[in-house]
Amino acid sequence: MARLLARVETVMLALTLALAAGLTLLTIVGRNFLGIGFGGLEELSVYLLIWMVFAGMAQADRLGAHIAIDVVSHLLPPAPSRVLARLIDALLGALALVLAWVTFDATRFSYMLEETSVQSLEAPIWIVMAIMPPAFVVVAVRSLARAATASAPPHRQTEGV
Amino acid sequence: MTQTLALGLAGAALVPLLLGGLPIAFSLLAASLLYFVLNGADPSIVGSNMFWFLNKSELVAIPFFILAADLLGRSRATDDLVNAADLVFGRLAGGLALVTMVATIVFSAIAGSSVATAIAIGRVMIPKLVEAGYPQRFAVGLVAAGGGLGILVPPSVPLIIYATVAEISVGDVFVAAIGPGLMLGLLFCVFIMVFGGRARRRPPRTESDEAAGWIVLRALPVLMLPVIILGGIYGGWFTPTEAAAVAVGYSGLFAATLYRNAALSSPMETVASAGRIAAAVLLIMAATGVVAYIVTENRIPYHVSGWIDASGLSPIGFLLAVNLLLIALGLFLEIISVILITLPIFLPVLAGLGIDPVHFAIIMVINMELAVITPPIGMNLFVISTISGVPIARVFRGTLPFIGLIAAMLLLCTYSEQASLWSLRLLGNG
Repeated sequence: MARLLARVETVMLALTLALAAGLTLLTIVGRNFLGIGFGGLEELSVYLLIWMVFAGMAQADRLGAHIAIDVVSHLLPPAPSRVLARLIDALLGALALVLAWVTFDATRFSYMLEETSVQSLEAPIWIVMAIMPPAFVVVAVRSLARAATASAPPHRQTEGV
Repeated sequence: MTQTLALGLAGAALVPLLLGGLPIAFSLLAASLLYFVLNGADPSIVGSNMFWFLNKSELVAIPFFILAADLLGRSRATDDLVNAADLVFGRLAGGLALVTMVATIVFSAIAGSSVATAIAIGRVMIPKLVEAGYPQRFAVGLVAAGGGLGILVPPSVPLIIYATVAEISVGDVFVAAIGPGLMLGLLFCVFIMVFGGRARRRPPRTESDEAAGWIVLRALPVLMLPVIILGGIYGGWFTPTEAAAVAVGYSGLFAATLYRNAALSSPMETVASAGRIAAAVLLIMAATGVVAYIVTENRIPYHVSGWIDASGLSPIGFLLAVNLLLIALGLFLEIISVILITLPIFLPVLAGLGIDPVHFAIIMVINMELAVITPPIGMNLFVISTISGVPIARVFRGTLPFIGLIAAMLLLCTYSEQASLWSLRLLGNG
């Protein structure tokens, strides 16, 4: 199950980013070479980006790739550092559950208001927002499982801009 | 509970969360949730704010530039770029060190990221520099500091983020950054030519004209990319976001054909990796979008402006104070976080003091160049240490002369708007 979920995250991440790039290129070609304007494609690229962010958030948590300040854990001896890591994982899990709830609430509110985009697609906003609650649930389940099983904290990678 | 007390408690909670190691995005969201709960407000504001902050077409450029840099950085493009730079600059004073810096400047004009630039150039050049007799400390310091140009020379992800938050033209900020970026690169080159010639003397070139022509030809696609990106934006062919998509298409095309890219052996993993890095950055941005809402609701910029007015601080005095604050924050925070946390507070103050937000963008990003090479949170120190196996402390000592040069450039751009904006004014938009 965990492996399947990890695969789904990777595919979703790669697909949303590749599709967004493809649609943006199509917009340029259409406008500059074919004289056709694809107004909705830019909007669609932004929605794909939002899905990419939340799929990426879940994957970054799994791989320990979120940007964090880990000075204190490096200064601590190994045993207290492990305790701190479990505490942080427990806190992250609880926080992600709360965030799943508040983002669900925001999505539900958008659905009730029948909120649509003001751009050319006039897409229902709740559909785009709907990625947020499950992504936070995935982070919550993984973090709480790490805290409960005392599995090694994910190595913080030096990915950055 | 009063709004001020709720704000104070949320701010106080943020510090231990950040220092304890909770990811920055989640720390900011936790403090924001606490603020809304203590204030009796609906916490679902957090969800809707995050969504509306991310719902901006400019932000799509960030994962695109990261992916383009990854495609080229892991291919033979870097080697071809270095060979061409070696052909032209390799026999001047400074030799291979000068070649490294020139290649870094060109790669910066492709990558948009200091980390991507440092990795791509460092992987190829650090072993070559050490082999050529340069002191190891100098070699790693040179690449770590030079990599910082990746966020100043456009396209630059931090500049896109700045322009998006400040609601100013990404194209204008890019063009403005060309001038200071080239000036700083030139300053590095002069330093290398004067003080970096202690390596073994290199034998004269032996390539035929035909072989030299092939070296230039092979590097031509990678050399053309900055021209296409900036030319396309300024020529009105495409927006900065579209330019980033063009960079992806162009890099992908050459990575798959001419440069026989190792990254394309697992394309899904490569694209997902770029997406993951971008997602980590964009999530912090979305979280700071919520913080910015709280900052605005509490009229903090108004209070800061009032305090500055009352203190009689001049624009230069304000900028110098901001420099000190940014340097201090840059020691402990990742650069995107520094920009996103401080910018909503600074922006309204700039208008009151008559400071051009494009000028401020340059000052801010040069400050961030210092941040990426200063411990304890200096991303370039980490990556150079990782790829070279040299301890972080030694990498940092190697960057010290370059830190002096960046600080000199920072002072120049702080005092002189002309030094910051000359390339923008040259193109008639300043």
